Amino acid sequence: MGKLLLVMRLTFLVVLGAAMHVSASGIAQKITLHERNASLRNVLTELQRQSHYDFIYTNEQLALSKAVNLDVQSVDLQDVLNQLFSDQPLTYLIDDHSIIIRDKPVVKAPPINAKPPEAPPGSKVIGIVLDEKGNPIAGASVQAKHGRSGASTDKNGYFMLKEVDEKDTLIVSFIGYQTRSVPASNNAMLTIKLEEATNALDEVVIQGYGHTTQRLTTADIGRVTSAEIEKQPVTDPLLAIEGRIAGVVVTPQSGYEAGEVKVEIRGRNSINSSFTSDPLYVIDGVPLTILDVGGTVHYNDLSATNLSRGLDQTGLSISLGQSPLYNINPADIESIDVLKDADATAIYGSRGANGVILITTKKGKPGTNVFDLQASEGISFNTRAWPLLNTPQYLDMRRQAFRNDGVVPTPLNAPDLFLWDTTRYVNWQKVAYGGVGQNLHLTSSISGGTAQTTFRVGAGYDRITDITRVAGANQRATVAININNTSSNKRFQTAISANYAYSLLNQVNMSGQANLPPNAPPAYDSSGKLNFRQWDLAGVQLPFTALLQPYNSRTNAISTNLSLSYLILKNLRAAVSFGYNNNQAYQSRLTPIASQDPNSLIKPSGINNYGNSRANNWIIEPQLTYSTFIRRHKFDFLAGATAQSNVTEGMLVTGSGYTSDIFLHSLSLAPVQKTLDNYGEYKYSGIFGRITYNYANKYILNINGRRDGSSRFGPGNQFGNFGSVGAAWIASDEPFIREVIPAVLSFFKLRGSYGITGSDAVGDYQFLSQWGNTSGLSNYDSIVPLLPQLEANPKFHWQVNKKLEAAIQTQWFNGFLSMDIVYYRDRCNNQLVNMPLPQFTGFTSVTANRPANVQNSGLEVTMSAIILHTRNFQWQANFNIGINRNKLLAYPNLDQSTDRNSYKVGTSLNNYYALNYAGVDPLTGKFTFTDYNHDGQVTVNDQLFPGTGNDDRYIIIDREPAYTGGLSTSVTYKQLTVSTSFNFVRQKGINLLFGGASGASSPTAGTMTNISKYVYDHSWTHPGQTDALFARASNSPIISIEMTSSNSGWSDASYFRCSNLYISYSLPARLLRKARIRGLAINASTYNLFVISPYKGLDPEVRTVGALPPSRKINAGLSFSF
Amino acid sequence: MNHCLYKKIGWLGVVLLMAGGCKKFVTVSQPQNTVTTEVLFANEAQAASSLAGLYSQMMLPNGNVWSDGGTAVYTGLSSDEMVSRFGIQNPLTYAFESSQLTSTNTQSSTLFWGPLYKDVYVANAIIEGAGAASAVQLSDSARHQLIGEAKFIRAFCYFYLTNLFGDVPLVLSTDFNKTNLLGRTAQAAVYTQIVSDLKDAEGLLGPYYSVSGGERIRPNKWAVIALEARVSLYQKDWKDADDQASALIGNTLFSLVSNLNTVFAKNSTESIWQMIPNVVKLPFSPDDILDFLPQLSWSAYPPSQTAIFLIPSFYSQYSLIFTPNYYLSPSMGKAFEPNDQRRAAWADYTPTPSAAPWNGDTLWWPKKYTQGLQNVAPAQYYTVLRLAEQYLIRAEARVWEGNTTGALADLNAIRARAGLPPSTASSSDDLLAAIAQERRVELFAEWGHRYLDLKRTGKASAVLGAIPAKTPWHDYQLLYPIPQTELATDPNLSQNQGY
Repeated sequence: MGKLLLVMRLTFLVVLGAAMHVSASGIAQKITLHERNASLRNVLTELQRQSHYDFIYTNEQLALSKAVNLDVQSVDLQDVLNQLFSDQPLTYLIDDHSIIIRDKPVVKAPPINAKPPEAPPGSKVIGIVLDEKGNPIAGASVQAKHGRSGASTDKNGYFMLKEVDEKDTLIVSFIGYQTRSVPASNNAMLTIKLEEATNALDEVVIQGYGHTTQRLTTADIGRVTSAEIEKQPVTDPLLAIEGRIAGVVVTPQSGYEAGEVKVEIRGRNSINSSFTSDPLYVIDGVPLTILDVGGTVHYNDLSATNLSRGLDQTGLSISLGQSPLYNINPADIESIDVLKDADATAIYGSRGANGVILITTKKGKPGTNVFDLQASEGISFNTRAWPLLNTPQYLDMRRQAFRNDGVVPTPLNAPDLFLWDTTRYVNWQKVAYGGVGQNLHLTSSISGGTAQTTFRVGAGYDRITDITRVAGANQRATVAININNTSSNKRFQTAISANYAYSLLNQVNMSGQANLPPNAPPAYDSSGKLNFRQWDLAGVQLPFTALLQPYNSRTNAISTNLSLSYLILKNLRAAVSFGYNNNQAYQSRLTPIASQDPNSLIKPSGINNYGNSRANNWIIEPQLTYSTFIRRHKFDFLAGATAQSNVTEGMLVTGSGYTSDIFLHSLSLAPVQKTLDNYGEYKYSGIFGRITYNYANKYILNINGRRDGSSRFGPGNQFGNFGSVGAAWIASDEPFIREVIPAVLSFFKLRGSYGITGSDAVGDYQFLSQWGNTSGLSNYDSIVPLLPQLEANPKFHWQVNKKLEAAIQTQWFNGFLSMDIVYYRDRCNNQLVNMPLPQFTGFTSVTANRPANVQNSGLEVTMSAIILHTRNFQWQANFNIGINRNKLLAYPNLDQSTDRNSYKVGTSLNNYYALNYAGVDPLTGKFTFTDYNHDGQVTVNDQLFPGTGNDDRYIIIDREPAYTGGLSTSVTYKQLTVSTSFNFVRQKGINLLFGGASGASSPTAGTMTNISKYVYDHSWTHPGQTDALFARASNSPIISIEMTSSNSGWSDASYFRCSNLYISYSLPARLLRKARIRGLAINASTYNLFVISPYKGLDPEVRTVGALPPSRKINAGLSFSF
Repeated sequence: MNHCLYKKIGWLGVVLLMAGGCKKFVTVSQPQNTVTTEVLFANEAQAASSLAGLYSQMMLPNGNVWSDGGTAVYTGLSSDEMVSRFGIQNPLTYAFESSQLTSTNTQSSTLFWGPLYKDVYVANAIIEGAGAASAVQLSDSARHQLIGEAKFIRAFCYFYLTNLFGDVPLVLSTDFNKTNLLGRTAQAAVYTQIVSDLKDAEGLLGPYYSVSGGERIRPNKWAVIALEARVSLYQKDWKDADDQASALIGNTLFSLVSNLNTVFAKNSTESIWQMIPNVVKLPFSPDDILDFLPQLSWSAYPPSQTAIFLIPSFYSQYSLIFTPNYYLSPSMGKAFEPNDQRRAAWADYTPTPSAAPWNGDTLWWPKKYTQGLQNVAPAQYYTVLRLAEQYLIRAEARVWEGNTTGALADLNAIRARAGLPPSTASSSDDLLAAIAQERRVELFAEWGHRYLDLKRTGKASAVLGAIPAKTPWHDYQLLYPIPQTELATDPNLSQNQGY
C-alpha cells in the first residue's frame, strides 16, 4: 500500500513537471502589425514570420480575399486571426503548429437570392454569433422581438431568420452569456458577439441531462461552485455544501475523517426508519450507487434516519460506515448542483425521489495551459468539552449514591472507592479527544487546450490525522482527468472523464472513555502493556483494549465516463454516455493477543477480521436531442434511455485462534477461518423524454415523462410511470407588467411544477424468500446451516411521491439583490416501509407499502446581495433558510395497524409524545411526572395512543428541525478576500444529562461513570430540597419507563456554527508578471471554527455519547497558478 | 474516423433507446449468498441445510437464548434454584431473581419470546417448504424426516412458550398476512397442537440415530416419545405418561450411565436427544453454559494457597475469581442428601468466611458441563432429553396410577445411580414428595425443570413466596409478561393478568 501511495506522489510530481514544461508553449504569441489595404497574402507571410506558425492556404482562397486593414500592437495571435478573418470570406483552423485557412462554409450555404419567391425580398437576416474570443457559438437562440420567427445557430455559429422586418430587433441568447438585442439589418451579414454572463441569473446550472440557467429554468436547482468549495479545508465534498442551499441539511455523523455524512433534502420523504434517505449522487453523469448488502446502520437518534454504510459493507469500520464521496477530491469539482423539485428530478425517475446531487468535475478551457498548485497545512482539535467532575466531586457523588441506596460500599461493589487511588485525577476527555490532528492538503492541476480539444489533469494528496491521540493518519491520493474533443467538422464530440482515488484510513475506537471515573487507573502499566491487572482486580473490564485493536481501510475508487455525441442533422444530436465506476475497500480490524486480558480463564487468542467491500456499477444512456423553432416558438426535445447495473459485494473473513500476534496479518495462518459474504445485484432501466417549450424567453414549459423498471420489485411490479410538468413566466419581461412594477425590481419570475416520482429504495431482493447464513452460524453435524433471512413479500410495489412546487424569483437593482421564495408540498402515498410486525410472526418487520399518505411541505427563502461593489472593494452576502413541516394526511384502517399507537391523522409523524417531567420530589429525591388524566398514577401505556385512556403522555416534542439555514458573506478589498459562512439549525435533541431518554446512554448520577458537573450541582442531596433538577444519586440508575418516556430526555439542540472562515491575499498582478507567474495567493481557512449552542453535550450534531465529535480545523495555505 | 462510423454510433444509440425499458434489463440473477425456498427444497442435500440452520440457531455462537442455556439460568433465577452474583446491580437479571419482571424487560423478550418464535418460524418454514408442491424432487423419506423433525421442534418450542407465558399466539404459518394480527390461544388448545405435532412426528421419524451417523444430535422417534411422556405428565395423562416413558426405559438403545461424570458426554447411552454446542465461541461469551463456571476453581488449589482468601477483606476483593456469574441458591445447595454423589460430580463450590454476611455458607454451582468451548471439539453435547427424566416421569405417573411398587423401583433406580439408599417413602404423598425432591437434585440446572415442576404441581406460590427477594409475592408472577413491543404492534394481543 505504501508503494501505491508513492506512485501517486510521483504522479503528482510528474504533473507538476509537465505543467512547468508546457506552460511556455500555446498560441499566445504577441503580434504587432500595422497594415493598410494590404493583401492577405502579405499579411499571412508577416504573421508566419512573427509567430513561427505555418499557414496553409490555396491561391483560390486568396483570390477571393479582401484587402486587409489591421493595426495591432502586441496582441495575441488568436485575437489577431479572429480580427483578420472576421470580414474575410475565410476562416481558420489551428492544427498543431499549422494554421489552415478554410472557406467560410456558410457564405456558400445560404445563397441570398435563391430563396422561395413567396418570401418578400429583403426579409431575411443572416448572421454569425460569436463569443468574446471570436469563437462561433452553436445552438444560440435568435428571435425577432416583434416578428414571428426564431432560429438557433448551427454548428458554425451561423443563423438565418426569415420574414424579419428591417426595423425589428433581434434577441440573441445563449446559456451562460448575456442576452443581446441587435437591430435587424436585412441582406447583410451580422456579426453578433455575446459576452459571458455576469448576472448570476444567466450563469450555467447543471440539470439532468443538460444545462440551463436560473433565469430560464422551470425547476428548483441549487448550486455550489468551485469558488466556494475551494475555500473550505474539508476532504469530503459533501461537507462543503453544508448550510449553503436552502432545504439541504448536511450532517456529519462522526468526527472520523471518512465517516458517513447524512444529506437530507427537504426533510425525510419516507417515514421508513430503516431505508436510506440518501439522495442520488451523480458524478459526471455516472450515478454512484452502492447497495446496502451488509445491512444499514441505525443511528442512535430518534430524529436521525438510516444511512447507507457506503464503502463499509462488512460493518468493520469504527465510524460506522465510510462515505463514498470521500474518494472525490473537492479541488477537482467544478460545481455541485442539487436538484430538489419534481421538475428537476423527474428525469431521474425513481432514483431521484430523495433529490439528486450532481457533481461536475473541472474541465480544461481553451487557451494557454494553466498550472495550479495549492498546498495547505493545518491542525485540528476538539471544539467543546463537557464540564465533568473532578475526583473529590466524583467520590462525593459515589458516596452519596451508596448512602441514598442504603448500601455499604465494599471493595466488591465500589472498587473505585477502595481499590483505586482516590487522589488520582485524569481528564479522560483529554485522553480520548484531546489530541491535535494534522491536515495536509496538496492539489495541483494542469489544464488548457485548443478550441477543439481541451484537457485537465488534477492530482491531489491529503494526509489527515484524527484528534484521537492514537489513530494513525488518513491519507488520500486522487487523480482526475478530463478530455474534451470536438471533431474538425464540429459534428462529433467526445468527452472523457476519469477519477481515481486511493485512500488509506486508520481509526481507533475511543468511545466510552470520555466519562470514565476520574480516578480510574491508567490504560497502560509501568511496562507499557495494557493495565489489565489493576482493572481486573476491581472487577471492571479494561475499557482501553480498543487502543490496540486498530482498524485500517484501503480504498480504491475509480469512476469513468465516456460521452460520444454526433450531430446527425442540423439541431438533431445523438449521444451516448457510458459510465463505469468501481469502489473497493479492503478493511481489517485486528484483535491481537496483546489487547486481551492474559488473566482470563480461557487463554486469549488473536482475531483478524478482514473485510472486502466491492461495488461495481455501469450505466449506458443513449440520448437524442433536437431543438427547433416553429416560428418564434422554440422547442427542445430530449429522448433517452437508461440501463444501469450494479453489483455490490461484501465479504468478511474472520481468522481466529491465533496463538501469536506475529501471524495475525495472515488469514491463512489462522487456525480457524470463517467467511461471511453478502451479495446484491441491482438493475434499473428506464426510458425518458423531455420537451421544453420556450416562447421569447418569457414563457417556458417543461414536460418530463419516464417509464422505469427496477429489479427491486417482484415479477409484475417492476415497472412504473412517472412524469412532471414545470412552467415559468418571466413577468418582468412583459411590457404590461413592467409598467406596474417598480423599476428597481429588475427581474420577476413565477414558476411552478408538479410531478410524480417514485421510489424503489427498499434494498434488494426483498420480494424473494431467502435462506442463507449471513449471521455466521457454525455447521451443524457438518451440514451448512441455512435460515430464512427475511419475511418475503412479493406484493410490494413502487412508492408514489407527488411533488408540487411554486416559486417567485426576483432580482432587484440590476442584480445587486436577489431573493427567491419557494413553497413546496410533497405527498407520499403507498409508502414503502419496513412495516413492524409482532416478533411472534418470526420477524420484526417486513417490506411493504403502507397506505399512509404523508405530506412534507415547506418554505425556502434564498437571498443574495452585492452590498458594495467598487473597483477596489466588493462585499457580498448570501442567506438561506428552509422550513419543513410534516403531516399525516390519511391512513385507512389506522386503528388496526401497527402504527395506531404512534401516529394520528392530521399530526406530524415526527411527533414524539412524552410525559411531563415535574421535577424532583423534595422528600424522596426521585423524579416525578405529571398525572395528566388525574387518575392517581402516572402511566405509560404503549397500547394506547398517547394521552388517551390511562396514558399520561401529553407533551408533544417535534423531532424535526424548526428551521435550518445558512449565512455567508465575502469581502474583497484589492487583493485581500475574507469570507465566512455559517449554518444554523433550530431543533430539539436528546438531552444527555438525563440518562433516560430513548436512544441516549448517558451517565446517570451515582454509577461508576463520570457525569456532567451540571447534574452534580443540581442533584437532590437532602430531604426538603426543593430546587433540585436531578434525582438523587443512586447505584442502580433509575431507568424507569416513565423516565424514558418523559420530556426530560429532550433539550434544545439548536446551534449556530461557523463552518468556514477564509482569508486570502493574492499578490498584485504586476509583481507576478515580472516573475512570469499568473497568480500567487496565501490563504488561511477554517472548518467548524466555533459553534454556539445551548446544547449540553459535546456537539449538537453528533449527539451520541462517546462518538468522536467533529473537530475544528485551521489551515494555512499557498496557491500558485502559472 | 469517417462519417459512416459516426452515423453507426448514432444509430446504435437509437437502437439502445428502443431497447430501454425491456424486462430483461431489470431481471437480476438470484442472490449468490442465499437461496429461495423453492431452490432449497428442490433436493435432499440442500434441504438438509434447513434443519442444520434450525439447530445451529438454537445453539447460537454467543449463547444467551432459551435453547442454549438461557432456560436453565433464567428459570433457575425465577425459581428457588439459582442466584445471581450481581444481585440488584444487574436490574435485568434481578427482575427474574425477584420475580419482578415487567413487560419491558428485554431479557424475557430476547431470551425467550423472540428466539422461541424464531425457531417456530423456521420450523413452520421447513414444514411448508418440504410439503410444498414444488418440492417434488424430495424423496418421501427425506420429506418425512424434514417435516417430522420440524414438527417436533415446533412442539418443543410451544411447550416452553405456553409454560412460561400461558396463552400464546399459535403461529403455524410463515405468512405474515395470516399471523400478524393473531390473538392469544388458550393453553389447552396450544397443548392440543403440541400433542398433534408430536403424533405426526412420531409417525414420520425413524427409531434410530442413523440419520446423523449414530450421533444422538437430531431428534428421532424416541425423542418424540420422550417429549410426549413429559407432555402427558404435565397434562396429567398418567396412563400415557407411563406407556410413553416405558417405551424408552425398556429400550435397549438407552440405559442409565453409572459413571456420573459421563452422563453428559456426547452420545452417552442415557441421552435421548442432544445438541452440538457451537464450537466457535468468539468472542468468548460469559453468557452461555459457562455462566456456571468461575475463572478459577477453588477445589483445584491446595488449602495452603486458598486459606488466605477466607480472610474477609481478601475474600471481598478476590472471591469473584472463584465464583461464577450464577450459582445455586443456599437452599438448593443444601438440598442434596449427605452421600449424594451428584453434588460432587455435577457441582463445584467455593467456601466463604465464617464472618457475616457470609456465615461460612458454601457456594455451590452447577458443573454438569465442564468444558470451555473455544475452538475445541466438544467432548460433551448439550443434553436436552435424557433417560433419568423418563424414570422420574414414570415414577410419578405410577404413583397416580396406584402402582407404588413400580414407582419406588423407578425412583430407586435413580437414587442407586447417585449412590443413595432406596427411598423409604411408602404413602402416595410421601412418594410424590420424594419424586419431586429427586427431580430437584437430579435435573437441577437443566431446562427449567425445577421452575416448571413447582408450577405444575401447584407448589410454586408456597415455595417461591417464602424467598425474601421475591416478597411480596403475587401469583400472577408465575407467568412471564408478554413483551411490551408485541402488544404495541398487535392490537389483538393482551397482557397476562397482573402486569
